[in-house]
Amino acid sequence: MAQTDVRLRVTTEGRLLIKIGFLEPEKQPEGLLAEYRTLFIETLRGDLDMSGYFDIVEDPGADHPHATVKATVSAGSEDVAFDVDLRDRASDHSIFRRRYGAPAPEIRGVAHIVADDIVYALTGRSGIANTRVAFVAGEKGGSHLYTMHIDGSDLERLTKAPTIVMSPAWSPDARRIAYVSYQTGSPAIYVDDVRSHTTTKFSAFEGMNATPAWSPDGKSLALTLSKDGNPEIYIISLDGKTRDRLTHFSGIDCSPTWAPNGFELAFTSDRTGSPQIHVTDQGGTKARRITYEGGYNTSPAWSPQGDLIAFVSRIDGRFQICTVDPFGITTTILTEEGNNEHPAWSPDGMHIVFSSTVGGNSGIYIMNSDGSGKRRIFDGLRNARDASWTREPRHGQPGFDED
Amino acid sequence: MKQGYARLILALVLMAAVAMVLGCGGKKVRSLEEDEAAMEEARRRAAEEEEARRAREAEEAIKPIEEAEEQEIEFGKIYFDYDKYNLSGKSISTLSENAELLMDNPNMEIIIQGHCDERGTDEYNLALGEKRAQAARDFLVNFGIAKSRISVISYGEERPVDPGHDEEAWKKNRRAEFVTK
Repeated sequence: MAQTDVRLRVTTEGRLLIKIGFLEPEKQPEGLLAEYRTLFIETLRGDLDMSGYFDIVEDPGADHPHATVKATVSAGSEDVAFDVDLRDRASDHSIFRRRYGAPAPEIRGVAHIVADDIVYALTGRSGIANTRVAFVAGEKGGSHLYTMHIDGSDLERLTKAPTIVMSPAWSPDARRIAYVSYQTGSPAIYVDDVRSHTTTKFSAFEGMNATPAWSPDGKSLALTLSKDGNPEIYIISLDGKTRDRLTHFSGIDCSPTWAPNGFELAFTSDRTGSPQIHVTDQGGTKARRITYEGGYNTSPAWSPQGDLIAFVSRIDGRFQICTVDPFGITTTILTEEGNNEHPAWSPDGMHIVFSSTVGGNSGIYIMNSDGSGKRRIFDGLRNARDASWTREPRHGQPGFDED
Repeated sequence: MKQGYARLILALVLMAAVAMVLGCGGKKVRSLEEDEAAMEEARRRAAEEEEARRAREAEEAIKPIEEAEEQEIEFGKIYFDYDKYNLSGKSISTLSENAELLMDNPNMEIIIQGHCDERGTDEYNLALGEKRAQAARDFLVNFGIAKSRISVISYGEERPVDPGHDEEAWKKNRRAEFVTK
Protein backbone atom coordinates (compact mmCIF):
# COMPACT_ATOMS: atom_id res chain seq x y z
CA MET A 1 0.00 0.00 0.00
CA ALA A 2 1.28 3.41 -0.92
CA GLN A 3 1.98 5.86 1.86
CA THR A 4 1.71 9.59 1.28
CA ASP A 5 5.29 10.74 1.02
CA VAL A 6 4.88 14.35 0.23
CA ARG A 7 2.20 16.85 1.08
CA LEU A 8 2.55 20.21 -0.59
CA ARG A 9 0.84 23.40 0.42
CA VAL A 10 0.40 25.87 -2.42
CA THR A 11 1.51 29.26 -1.19
CA THR A 12 2.64 31.03 -4.32
CA GLU A 13 1.15 31.51 -7.73
CA GLY A 14 4.25 30.92 -9.78
CA ARG A 15 3.29 29.67 -13.22
CA LEU A 16 4.65 30.23 -16.67
CA LEU A 17 2.05 32.48 -18.30
CA ILE A 18 1.55 33.23 -21.96
CA LYS A 19 1.89 36.95 -22.61
CA ILE A 20 -0.92 38.16 -24.80
CA GLY A 21 -1.75 41.66 -26.07
CA PHE A 22 -4.78 43.25 -27.67
CA LEU A 23 -4.21 45.22 -30.88
CA GLU A 24 -6.36 48.13 -31.90
CA PRO A 25 -8.22 47.82 -35.21
CA GLU A 26 -7.02 49.89 -38.16
CA LYS A 27 -10.22 51.87 -38.14
CA GLN A 28 -11.93 52.73 -34.86
CA PRO A 29 -15.68 52.00 -34.97
CA GLU A 30 -18.21 54.60 -33.97
CA GLY A 31 -21.54 54.75 -32.21
CA LEU A 32 -23.28 51.48 -31.53
CA LEU A 33 -20.56 49.39 -33.17
CA ALA A 34 -18.01 50.96 -30.86
CA GLU A 35 -20.13 49.94 -27.87
CA TYR A 36 -20.45 46.43 -29.20
CA ARG A 37 -16.72 46.16 -29.67
CA THR A 38 -16.03 47.48 -26.18
CA LEU A 39 -18.38 44.91 -24.65
CA PHE A 40 -16.76 42.16 -26.72
CA ILE A 41 -13.20 43.12 -25.81
CA GLU A 42 -13.97 43.59 -22.11
CA THR A 43 -15.64 40.17 -21.91
CA LEU A 44 -12.79 38.57 -23.84
CA ARG A 45 -10.15 40.14 -21.60
CA GLY A 46 -11.98 38.99 -18.47
CA ASP A 47 -12.24 35.45 -19.80
CA LEU A 48 -8.59 35.24 -20.80
CA ASP A 49 -7.67 36.52 -17.36
CA MET A 50 -9.93 33.98 -15.65
CA SER A 51 -8.47 31.11 -17.67
CA GLY A 52 -5.27 31.31 -15.66
CA TYR A 53 -2.99 30.89 -18.69
CA PHE A 54 -2.31 34.50 -19.64
CA ASP A 55 -0.50 37.62 -18.62
CA ILE A 56 -2.37 40.33 -20.51
CA VAL A 57 0.13 43.01 -21.45
CA GLU A 58 -0.90 46.63 -21.58
CA ASP A 59 1.28 47.78 -24.44
CA PRO A 60 1.69 45.12 -27.14
CA GLY A 61 4.24 47.32 -28.85
CA ALA A 62 6.62 47.50 -25.91
CA ASP A 63 5.84 44.46 -23.76
CA HIS A 64 6.75 41.68 -26.22
CA PRO A 65 3.70 39.46 -26.00
CA HIS A 66 3.89 35.88 -27.27
CA ALA A 67 0.58 36.34 -29.07
CA THR A 68 -1.72 39.16 -30.10
CA VAL A 69 -5.47 39.37 -30.61
CA LYS A 70 -7.11 41.81 -32.97
CA ALA A 71 -10.91 42.01 -33.15
CA THR A 72 -12.68 44.14 -35.76
CA VAL A 73 -16.40 44.71 -35.53
CA SER A 74 -18.81 45.22 -38.40
CA ALA A 75 -22.53 45.11 -38.90
CA GLY A 76 -23.87 42.02 -40.60
CA SER A 77 -27.29 41.82 -42.22
CA GLU A 78 -28.96 40.42 -39.12
CA ASP A 79 -26.26 40.49 -36.50
CA VAL A 80 -22.95 41.87 -35.36
CA ALA A 81 -19.81 40.34 -36.89
CA PHE A 82 -16.43 40.08 -35.17
CA ASP A 83 -13.36 39.29 -37.23
CA VAL A 84 -10.83 37.84 -34.83
CA ASP A 85 -7.18 37.46 -35.77
CA LEU A 86 -4.95 35.55 -33.31
CA ARG A 87 -1.31 35.90 -34.28
CA ASP A 88 1.92 34.39 -33.07
CA ARG A 89 4.18 37.35 -32.45
CA ALA A 90 7.54 35.77 -33.12
CA SER A 91 6.69 34.40 -36.56
CA ASP A 92 4.02 36.99 -37.31
CA HIS A 93 1.85 34.14 -38.57
CA SER A 94 -1.87 34.04 -37.98
CA ILE A 95 -2.80 31.14 -35.72
CA PHE A 96 -6.43 31.55 -36.73
CA ARG A 97 -8.56 34.18 -38.38
CA ARG A 98 -12.32 33.76 -38.11
CA ARG A 99 -15.53 35.63 -38.35
CA TYR A 100 -17.96 35.13 -35.47
CA GLY A 101 -21.48 36.55 -35.66
CA ALA A 102 -24.29 37.01 -33.18
CA PRO A 103 -27.27 39.23 -32.50
CA ALA A 104 -26.39 42.13 -30.23
CA PRO A 105 -27.85 40.58 -27.05
CA GLU A 106 -25.52 37.58 -27.48
CA ILE A 107 -22.24 39.42 -27.82
CA ARG A 108 -21.03 38.29 -24.40
CA GLY A 109 -21.71 34.67 -25.36
CA VAL A 110 -19.72 35.05 -28.57
CA ALA A 111 -16.81 36.57 -26.65
CA HIS A 112 -16.83 33.53 -24.34
CA ILE A 113 -16.60 31.20 -27.35
CA VAL A 114 -13.76 33.23 -28.82
CA ALA A 115 -11.92 33.16 -25.50
CA ASP A 116 -12.11 29.36 -25.40
CA ASP A 117 -10.97 29.17 -29.03
CA ILE A 118 -7.92 31.26 -28.15
CA VAL A 119 -7.22 29.06 -25.13
CA TYR A 120 -7.52 25.96 -27.29
CA ALA A 121 -5.28 27.33 -30.00
CA LEU A 122 -2.53 28.28 -27.53
CA THR A 123 -2.77 25.50 -24.90
CA GLY A 124 -4.68 22.62 -26.39
CA ARG A 125 -7.25 22.80 -23.54
CA SER A 126 -10.91 23.46 -24.19
CA GLY A 127 -11.15 26.33 -21.68
CA ILE A 128 -13.82 27.43 -19.18
CA ALA A 129 -15.21 30.65 -20.63
CA ASN A 130 -18.11 28.95 -22.44
CA THR A 131 -19.20 26.60 -19.69
CA ARG A 132 -22.20 26.11 -17.45
CA VAL A 133 -22.67 24.99 -13.84
CA ALA A 134 -25.52 23.26 -12.06
CA PHE A 135 -25.72 23.91 -8.33
CA VAL A 136 -27.93 23.97 -5.23
CA ALA A 137 -28.92 27.07 -3.28
CA GLY A 138 -31.24 27.89 -0.40
CA GLU A 139 -31.73 26.97 3.22
CA LYS A 140 -31.15 23.50 4.59
CA GLY A 141 -34.19 21.33 4.08
CA GLY A 142 -35.70 23.72 1.54
CA SER A 143 -33.38 24.33 -1.40
CA HIS A 144 -33.58 24.49 -5.16
CA LEU A 145 -31.51 23.22 -8.07
CA TYR A 146 -30.24 25.81 -10.55
CA THR A 147 -28.10 26.08 -13.64
CA MET A 148 -26.30 29.16 -14.89
CA HIS A 149 -23.54 30.20 -17.26
CA ILE A 150 -20.14 30.36 -15.57
CA ASP A 151 -20.30 34.16 -15.86
CA GLY A 152 -23.37 34.21 -13.62
CA SER A 153 -25.84 34.99 -16.40
CA ASP A 154 -28.78 32.93 -17.65
CA LEU A 155 -29.81 31.64 -14.21
CA GLU A 156 -32.47 28.96 -14.47
CA ARG A 157 -34.29 27.16 -11.63
CA LEU A 158 -34.99 23.49 -12.29
CA THR A 159 -36.99 22.45 -9.23
CA LYS A 160 -40.58 23.47 -8.55
CA ALA A 161 -40.99 23.33 -4.79
CA PRO A 162 -38.17 23.79 -2.27
CA THR A 163 -37.02 20.51 -0.75
CA ILE A 164 -33.88 18.65 0.22
CA VAL A 165 -31.95 18.47 -3.05
CA MET A 166 -28.30 17.46 -3.50
CA SER A 167 -25.51 16.24 -5.73
CA PRO A 168 -26.36 17.54 -9.22
CA ALA A 169 -24.26 15.82 -11.91
CA TRP A 170 -24.14 16.78 -15.60
CA SER A 171 -24.08 13.91 -18.10
CA PRO A 172 -20.98 13.85 -20.33
CA ASP A 173 -23.03 15.14 -23.30
CA ALA A 174 -24.34 18.05 -21.19
CA ARG A 175 -27.92 17.15 -22.01
CA ARG A 176 -29.02 15.74 -18.69
CA ILE A 177 -28.56 16.36 -14.97
CA ALA A 178 -28.85 13.61 -12.37
CA TYR A 179 -29.59 14.70 -8.78
CA VAL A 180 -31.05 13.61 -5.44
CA SER A 181 -34.38 15.00 -4.29
CA TYR A 182 -36.65 14.36 -1.29
CA GLN A 183 -39.65 15.87 -3.09
CA THR A 184 -41.80 12.79 -2.44
CA GLY A 185 -40.70 12.61 1.19
CA SER A 186 -37.90 10.10 0.73
CA PRO A 187 -34.69 10.36 -1.28
CA ALA A 188 -34.73 9.37 -4.94
CA ILE A 189 -32.45 10.06 -7.90
CA TYR A 190 -33.97 11.97 -10.80
CA VAL A 191 -32.60 12.70 -14.27
CA ASP A 192 -33.67 15.94 -15.94
CA ASP A 193 -33.34 16.45 -19.67
CA VAL A 194 -32.47 20.13 -19.83
CA ARG A 195 -33.53 20.60 -23.43
CA SER A 196 -36.91 18.92 -23.31
CA HIS A 197 -37.48 19.91 -19.65
CA THR A 198 -38.59 16.42 -18.76
CA THR A 199 -37.81 14.62 -15.51
CA THR A 200 -37.41 10.88 -15.05
CA LYS A 201 -37.28 9.16 -11.71
CA PHE A 202 -34.22 6.97 -12.09
CA SER A 203 -33.70 5.28 -8.75
CA ALA A 204 -36.16 5.03 -5.87
CA PHE A 205 -35.15 1.93 -3.95
CA GLU A 206 -35.99 1.62 -0.31
CA GLY A 207 -33.61 3.66 1.79
CA MET A 208 -30.82 5.80 0.39
CA ASN A 209 -30.62 6.76 -3.26
CA ALA A 210 -27.74 9.20 -3.46
CA THR A 211 -24.48 10.49 -4.97
CA PRO A 212 -25.12 9.88 -8.72
CA ALA A 213 -22.01 9.83 -10.96
CA TRP A 214 -22.10 9.42 -14.76
CA SER A 215 -19.80 6.92 -16.44
CA PRO A 216 -17.57 8.61 -19.05
CA ASP A 217 -19.56 6.98 -21.86
CA GLY A 218 -22.77 8.40 -20.43
CA LYS A 219 -24.45 5.00 -20.36
CA SER A 220 -24.47 4.28 -16.62
CA LEU A 221 -24.77 5.96 -13.26
CA ALA A 222 -22.77 4.87 -10.26
CA LEU A 223 -24.70 5.64 -7.08
CA THR A 224 -25.12 4.84 -3.39
CA LEU A 225 -28.02 2.64 -2.28
CA SER A 226 -28.73 1.24 1.18
CA LYS A 227 -31.39 -1.27 0.11
CA ASP A 228 -29.23 -4.28 0.96
CA GLY A 229 -28.70 -3.26 4.57
CA ASN A 230 -26.13 -0.45 4.54
CA PRO A 231 -24.78 2.21 2.12
CA GLU A 232 -23.07 0.48 -0.82
CA ILE A 233 -22.09 1.53 -4.34
CA TYR A 234 -23.90 0.19 -7.39
CA ILE A 235 -23.65 0.83 -11.13
CA ILE A 236 -26.96 0.94 -12.98
CA SER A 237 -27.30 1.41 -16.72
CA LEU A 238 -29.49 4.27 -17.92
CA ASP A 239 -31.82 1.83 -19.63
CA GLY A 240 -32.16 0.02 -16.32
CA LYS A 241 -31.10 -3.30 -17.80
CA THR A 242 -27.93 -3.90 -15.86
CA ARG A 243 -27.23 -3.40 -12.21
CA ASP A 244 -23.89 -4.27 -10.63
CA ARG A 245 -22.85 -3.99 -7.04
CA LEU A 246 -19.37 -2.54 -6.55
CA THR A 247 -18.82 -2.72 -2.76
CA HIS A 248 -19.54 -5.31 -0.13
CA PHE A 249 -18.48 -3.75 3.14
CA SER A 250 -20.90 -3.46 6.05
CA GLY A 251 -19.94 0.10 6.95
CA ILE A 252 -20.23 3.16 4.73
CA ASP A 253 -19.34 3.10 1.03
CA CYS A 254 -20.52 6.14 -0.93
CA SER A 255 -19.70 9.02 -3.31
CA PRO A 256 -18.32 7.15 -6.36
CA THR A 257 -16.44 9.04 -9.09
CA TRP A 258 -15.23 7.56 -12.40
CA ALA A 259 -11.76 7.62 -13.88
CA PRO A 260 -11.95 9.02 -17.45
CA ASN A 261 -10.94 5.62 -18.82
CA GLY A 262 -14.19 4.24 -17.42
CA PHE A 263 -12.34 1.42 -15.78
CA GLU A 264 -11.68 2.53 -12.21
CA LEU A 265 -13.74 4.40 -9.63
CA ALA A 266 -12.71 6.28 -6.51
CA PHE A 267 -15.11 6.41 -3.57
CA THR A 268 -15.40 7.15 0.15
CA SER A 269 -15.37 4.27 2.62
CA ASP A 270 -14.93 3.92 6.36
CA ARG A 271 -13.76 0.31 6.04
CA THR A 272 -10.41 1.18 7.65
CA GLY A 273 -12.09 2.84 10.65
CA SER A 274 -12.47 6.39 9.37
CA PRO A 275 -13.72 7.94 6.11
CA GLN A 276 -10.97 7.68 3.48
CA ILE A 277 -10.73 7.63 -0.31
CA HIS A 278 -10.31 4.26 -2.01
CA VAL A 279 -9.96 3.21 -5.65
CA THR A 280 -11.40 0.06 -7.16
CA ASP A 281 -12.03 -1.28 -10.64
CA GLN A 282 -15.45 -1.91 -12.14
CA GLY A 283 -15.25 -5.52 -11.15
CA GLY A 284 -15.19 -4.36 -7.53
CA THR A 285 -12.08 -6.31 -6.71
CA LYS A 286 -9.15 -5.21 -4.59
CA ALA A 287 -9.83 -1.65 -3.54
CA ARG A 288 -6.71 0.35 -2.66
CA ARG A 289 -6.69 3.16 -0.13
CA ILE A 290 -5.23 6.44 -1.43
CA THR A 291 -5.58 8.93 1.45
CA TYR A 292 -3.48 8.54 4.58
CA GLU A 293 -3.25 11.95 6.15
CA GLY A 294 -5.89 12.87 8.68
CA GLY A 295 -8.98 11.11 9.92
CA TYR A 296 -11.58 12.44 7.48
CA ASN A 297 -11.22 12.38 3.69
CA THR A 298 -14.37 12.32 1.56
CA SER A 299 -16.06 13.62 -1.63
CA PRO A 300 -13.64 12.40 -4.31
CA ALA A 301 -13.82 13.84 -7.83
CA TRP A 302 -11.64 12.31 -10.55
CA SER A 303 -10.23 14.83 -13.04
CA PRO A 304 -11.20 14.37 -16.71
CA GLN A 305 -7.44 14.38 -17.35
CA GLY A 306 -7.14 11.26 -15.22
CA ASP A 307 -4.06 12.38 -13.31
CA LEU A 308 -5.62 13.80 -10.15
CA ILE A 309 -8.44 13.12 -7.73
CA ALA A 310 -9.79 16.15 -5.85
CA PHE A 311 -11.34 15.53 -2.45
CA VAL A 312 -12.25 17.18 0.86
CA SER A 313 -10.01 16.72 3.89
CA ARG A 314 -10.66 17.81 7.45
CA ILE A 315 -7.57 19.68 8.63
CA ASP A 316 -7.48 21.31 12.06
CA GLY A 317 -11.24 21.03 12.32
CA ARG A 318 -12.00 22.76 9.02
CA PHE A 319 -12.52 21.35 5.53
CA GLN A 320 -10.09 21.94 2.68
CA ILE A 321 -9.94 20.89 -0.96
CA CYS A 322 -6.97 18.69 -1.80
CA THR A 323 -5.77 16.72 -4.79
CA VAL A 324 -4.02 13.37 -4.83
CA ASP A 325 -2.69 11.19 -7.63
CA PRO A 326 -4.56 7.92 -8.20
CA PHE A 327 -1.94 5.96 -6.25
CA GLY A 328 -1.94 8.13 -3.16
CA ILE A 329 1.70 9.16 -3.44
CA THR A 330 1.49 12.95 -3.46
CA THR A 331 -1.23 15.05 -1.84
CA THR A 332 -1.56 18.80 -2.40
CA ILE A 333 -3.67 21.08 -0.21
CA LEU A 334 -5.36 23.73 -2.38
CA THR A 335 -7.39 25.83 0.07
CA GLU A 336 -6.65 27.34 3.44
CA GLU A 337 -9.41 29.63 4.66
CA GLY A 338 -12.97 28.94 5.70
CA ASN A 339 -14.72 25.62 5.04
CA ASN A 340 -14.49 24.25 1.53
CA GLU A 341 -16.53 21.42 0.02
CA HIS A 342 -17.95 19.89 -3.16
CA PRO A 343 -14.95 19.93 -5.50
CA ALA A 344 -15.84 19.29 -9.15
CA TRP A 345 -13.69 19.59 -12.29
CA SER A 346 -14.03 21.78 -15.37
CA PRO A 347 -14.63 19.74 -18.54
CA ASP A 348 -10.96 20.12 -19.54
CA GLY A 349 -9.69 19.16 -16.08
CA MET A 350 -7.71 22.38 -15.62
CA HIS A 351 -9.95 24.07 -13.04
CA ILE A 352 -11.91 23.11 -9.96
CA VAL A 353 -15.27 24.57 -8.87
CA PHE A 354 -16.00 24.35 -5.15
CA SER A 355 -18.15 25.77 -2.34
CA SER A 356 -16.53 27.94 0.27
CA THR A 357 -17.62 29.79 3.36
CA VAL A 358 -14.53 31.98 3.23
CA GLY A 359 -16.78 34.95 2.43
CA GLY A 360 -19.25 34.11 5.23
CA ASN A 361 -22.25 32.70 3.40
CA SER A 362 -21.47 29.63 1.29
CA GLY A 363 -20.65 30.68 -2.27
CA ILE A 364 -19.35 29.11 -5.48
CA TYR A 365 -15.71 29.60 -6.34
CA ILE A 366 -13.31 28.39 -8.98
CA MET A 367 -9.55 27.94 -8.95
CA ASN A 368 -6.85 26.53 -11.18
CA SER A 369 -6.07 22.88 -10.57
CA ASP A 370 -2.97 23.85 -8.59
CA GLY A 371 -4.98 26.05 -6.22
CA SER A 372 -3.96 29.40 -7.73
CA GLY A 373 -6.35 31.96 -9.15
CA LYS A 374 -9.23 31.54 -6.69
CA ARG A 375 -12.22 33.71 -7.49
CA ARG A 376 -15.86 33.79 -6.50
CA ILE A 377 -18.14 33.31 -9.48
CA PHE A 378 -21.55 33.63 -7.88
CA ASP A 379 -23.06 35.36 -4.87
CA GLY A 380 -26.60 35.99 -6.07
CA LEU A 381 -28.32 33.34 -3.93
CA ARG A 382 -28.04 32.27 -0.34
CA ASN A 383 -25.97 29.22 0.50
CA ALA A 384 -24.90 28.40 -3.06
CA ARG A 385 -23.10 25.05 -3.11
CA ASP A 386 -22.65 21.61 -4.65
CA ALA A 387 -21.77 22.59 -8.24
CA SER A 388 -21.27 20.42 -11.33
CA TRP A 389 -19.52 21.77 -14.45
CA THR A 390 -20.12 21.21 -18.17
CA ARG A 391 -19.65 22.81 -21.59
CA GLU A 392 -22.16 25.21 -23.15
CA PRO A 393 -23.10 24.54 -26.77
CA ARG A 394 -21.40 26.70 -29.41
CA HIS A 395 -24.64 27.77 -31.03
CA GLY A 396 -23.29 27.29 -34.52
CA GLN A 397 -20.20 29.45 -34.16
CA PRO A 398 -17.20 28.42 -36.27
CA GLY A 399 -14.50 26.64 -34.36
CA PHE A 400 -12.41 23.62 -33.64
CA ASP A 401 -14.98 21.22 -32.23
CA GLU A 402 -18.49 21.63 -33.45
CA ASP A 403 -21.11 20.31 -31.05
CA MET B 1 -108.64 50.52 46.76
CA LYS B 2 -105.84 48.03 47.44
CA GLN B 3 -108.03 45.79 49.40
CA GLY B 4 -110.42 45.56 46.53
CA TYR B 5 -107.67 44.49 44.14
CA ALA B 6 -106.27 41.90 46.54
CA ARG B 7 -109.71 40.26 46.81
CA LEU B 8 -109.99 40.26 43.00
CA ILE B 9 -106.63 38.58 42.57
CA LEU B 10 -107.40 35.97 45.20
CA ALA B 11 -110.66 35.19 43.45
CA LEU B 12 -108.84 34.80 40.13
CA VAL B 13 -106.21 32.51 41.63
CA LEU B 14 -108.89 30.36 43.22
CA MET B 15 -110.72 30.16 39.93
CA ALA B 16 -107.51 29.15 38.14
CA ALA B 17 -106.80 26.47 40.75
CA VAL B 18 -110.28 25.04 40.40
CA ALA B 19 -109.88 25.05 36.63
CA MET B 20 -106.59 23.14 36.90
CA VAL B 21 -108.07 20.53 39.22
CA LEU B 22 -111.02 20.13 36.94
CA GLY B 23 -108.69 19.85 33.95
CA CYS B 24 -106.58 17.11 35.63
CA GLY B 25 -109.71 15.48 36.60
CA GLY B 26 -110.31 15.01 32.90
CA LYS B 27 -107.94 11.98 32.96
CA LYS B 28 -109.24 8.48 33.06
CA VAL B 29 -109.09 6.99 36.48
CA ARG B 30 -106.88 3.84 36.55
CA SER B 31 -107.12 0.74 38.61
CA LEU B 32 -104.56 -0.03 41.32
CA GLU B 33 -103.11 -3.00 39.33
CA GLU B 34 -102.62 -0.90 36.30
CA ASP B 35 -100.86 1.64 38.44
CA GLU B 36 -98.52 -0.99 39.89
CA ALA B 37 -97.79 -2.43 36.47
CA ALA B 38 -97.06 1.00 35.17
CA MET B 39 -94.74 1.67 38.07
CA GLU B 40 -93.03 -1.68 37.54
CA GLU B 41 -92.62 -0.86 33.87
CA ALA B 42 -91.23 2.52 34.73
CA ARG B 43 -88.82 1.01 37.25
CA ARG B 44 -87.65 -1.54 34.69
CA ARG B 45 -87.18 1.03 32.07
CA ALA B 46 -85.31 3.24 34.47
CA ALA B 47 -83.02 0.38 35.42
CA GLU B 48 -82.32 -0.36 31.73
CA GLU B 49 -81.58 3.24 31.06
CA GLU B 50 -79.33 3.37 34.07
CA GLU B 51 -77.41 0.32 32.86
CA ALA B 52 -77.06 1.72 29.38
CA ARG B 53 -75.89 5.02 30.77
CA ARG B 54 -73.34 3.31 32.96
CA ALA B 55 -72.06 1.21 30.02
CA ARG B 56 -71.76 4.29 27.82
CA GLU B 57 -69.87 6.16 30.45
CA ALA B 58 -67.58 3.25 31.01
CA GLU B 59 -66.81 3.10 27.29
CA GLU B 60 -66.24 6.76 27.09
CA ALA B 61 -64.02 6.51 30.09
CA ILE B 62 -61.90 3.92 28.33
CA LYS B 63 -61.61 5.81 25.05
CA PRO B 64 -59.82 8.83 26.41
CA ILE B 65 -57.49 6.56 28.32
CA GLU B 66 -56.65 4.67 25.14
CA GLU B 67 -56.19 7.83 23.17
CA ALA B 68 -54.13 9.25 25.94
CA GLU B 69 -51.98 6.15 25.89
CA GLU B 70 -51.45 6.44 22.14
CA GLN B 71 -50.56 10.07 22.43
CA GLU B 72 -48.28 9.19 25.26
CA ILE B 73 -46.37 6.69 23.16
CA GLU B 74 -43.25 8.68 22.82
CA PHE B 75 -40.29 6.80 21.60
CA GLY B 76 -37.03 7.85 23.13
CA LYS B 77 -34.41 9.42 20.87
CA ILE B 78 -30.90 8.06 20.81
CA TYR B 79 -27.69 10.04 20.37
CA PHE B 80 -24.30 9.38 18.85
CA ASP B 81 -20.70 10.43 19.16
CA TYR B 82 -19.14 12.59 16.45
CA ASP B 83 -18.68 10.64 13.20
CA LYS B 84 -19.90 7.43 14.85
CA TYR B 85 -22.88 5.17 14.39
CA ASN B 86 -22.29 2.63 17.13
CA LEU B 87 -24.83 2.37 19.94
CA SER B 88 -23.90 3.57 23.41
CA GLY B 89 -25.12 1.86 26.57
CA LYS B 90 -27.68 4.62 27.03
CA SER B 91 -28.88 4.15 23.46
CA ILE B 92 -29.28 0.45 24.02
CA SER B 93 -31.48 0.96 27.07
CA THR B 94 -33.57 3.56 25.23
CA LEU B 95 -33.92 1.19 22.30
CA SER B 96 -34.97 -1.61 24.63
CA GLU B 97 -37.75 0.59 25.97
CA ASN B 98 -38.78 1.48 22.44
CA ALA B 99 -38.82 -2.21 21.57
CA GLU B 100 -41.13 -2.91 24.54
CA LEU B 101 -43.50 -0.23 23.29
CA LEU B 102 -43.53 -1.89 19.91
CA MET B 103 -44.19 -5.28 21.48
CA ASP B 104 -47.16 -3.81 23.36
CA ASN B 105 -48.55 -2.30 20.17
CA PRO B 106 -48.15 -5.03 17.60
CA ASN B 107 -49.91 -3.12 14.82
CA MET B 108 -47.72 -0.10 15.09
CA GLU B 109 -45.23 0.67 12.32
CA ILE B 110 -42.44 3.16 12.69
CA ILE B 111 -39.96 5.21 10.69
CA ILE B 112 -36.49 5.67 12.13
CA GLN B 113 -34.91 8.98 11.04
CA GLY B 114 -31.13 9.33 11.14
CA HIS B 115 -29.44 12.74 11.51
CA CYS B 116 -25.98 14.31 11.78
CA ASP B 117 -24.57 17.57 13.02
CA GLU B 118 -23.62 20.22 10.47
CA ARG B 119 -19.94 19.40 10.37
CA GLY B 120 -18.74 16.97 7.77
CA THR B 121 -19.44 16.81 4.07
CA ASP B 122 -23.08 16.47 3.16
CA GLU B 123 -22.94 13.30 1.05
CA TYR B 124 -21.02 11.44 3.74
CA ASN B 125 -23.46 12.78 6.33
CA LEU B 126 -26.34 11.29 4.37
CA ALA B 127 -24.65 7.90 4.67
CA LEU B 128 -23.77 8.48 8.33
CA GLY B 129 -27.38 9.35 9.18
CA GLU B 130 -28.47 6.21 7.34
CA LYS B 131 -26.05 4.04 9.34
CA ARG B 132 -27.33 5.56 12.58
CA ALA B 133 -30.94 4.79 11.70
CA GLN B 134 -29.94 1.32 10.54
CA ALA B 135 -28.09 0.62 13.78
CA ALA B 136 -31.30 1.37 15.67
CA ARG B 137 -33.33 -0.76 13.28
CA ASP B 138 -30.95 -3.70 13.51
CA PHE B 139 -31.15 -3.60 17.30
CA LEU B 140 -34.97 -3.66 17.23
CA VAL B 141 -34.99 -6.51 14.73
CA ASN B 142 -32.60 -8.52 16.91
CA PHE B 143 -34.91 -7.79 19.81
CA GLY B 144 -37.70 -9.50 17.89
CA ILE B 145 -39.56 -6.72 16.10
CA ALA B 146 -40.50 -7.68 12.56
CA LYS B 147 -38.33 -5.90 10.01
CA SER B 148 -41.41 -5.10 7.93
CA ARG B 149 -42.65 -2.79 10.69
CA ILE B 150 -39.62 -0.52 10.42
CA SER B 151 -38.59 1.94 7.69
CA VAL B 152 -35.41 3.93 7.76
CA ILE B 153 -34.61 7.37 6.34
CA SER B 154 -31.57 9.62 6.59
CA TYR B 155 -31.73 13.40 6.51
CA GLY B 156 -27.99 13.83 6.86
CA GLU B 157 -27.29 17.31 8.21
CA GLU B 158 -30.40 18.78 6.57
CA ARG B 159 -32.80 18.79 9.55
CA PRO B 160 -31.07 19.86 12.74
CA VAL B 161 -33.15 20.35 15.89
CA ASP B 162 -30.73 23.00 17.06
CA PRO B 163 -29.34 25.45 14.53
CA GLY B 164 -26.47 26.46 16.80
CA HIS B 165 -22.81 26.15 15.90
CA ASP B 166 -21.33 24.66 19.05
CA GLU B 167 -21.10 21.28 20.70
CA GLU B 168 -24.24 21.97 22.74
CA ALA B 169 -26.21 22.15 19.50
CA TRP B 170 -24.23 19.52 17.63
CA LYS B 171 -24.73 16.78 20.16
CA LYS B 172 -28.51 17.28 20.03
CA ASN B 173 -28.41 16.92 16.26
CA ARG B 174 -26.44 13.65 16.14
CA ARG B 175 -29.49 11.50 16.71
CA ALA B 176 -31.99 8.92 15.56
CA GLU B 177 -35.68 9.65 16.06
CA PHE B 178 -38.69 7.35 15.91
CA VAL B 179 -42.02 8.36 14.43
CA THR B 180 -45.13 6.28 13.94
CA LYS B 181 -46.20 5.78 10.36
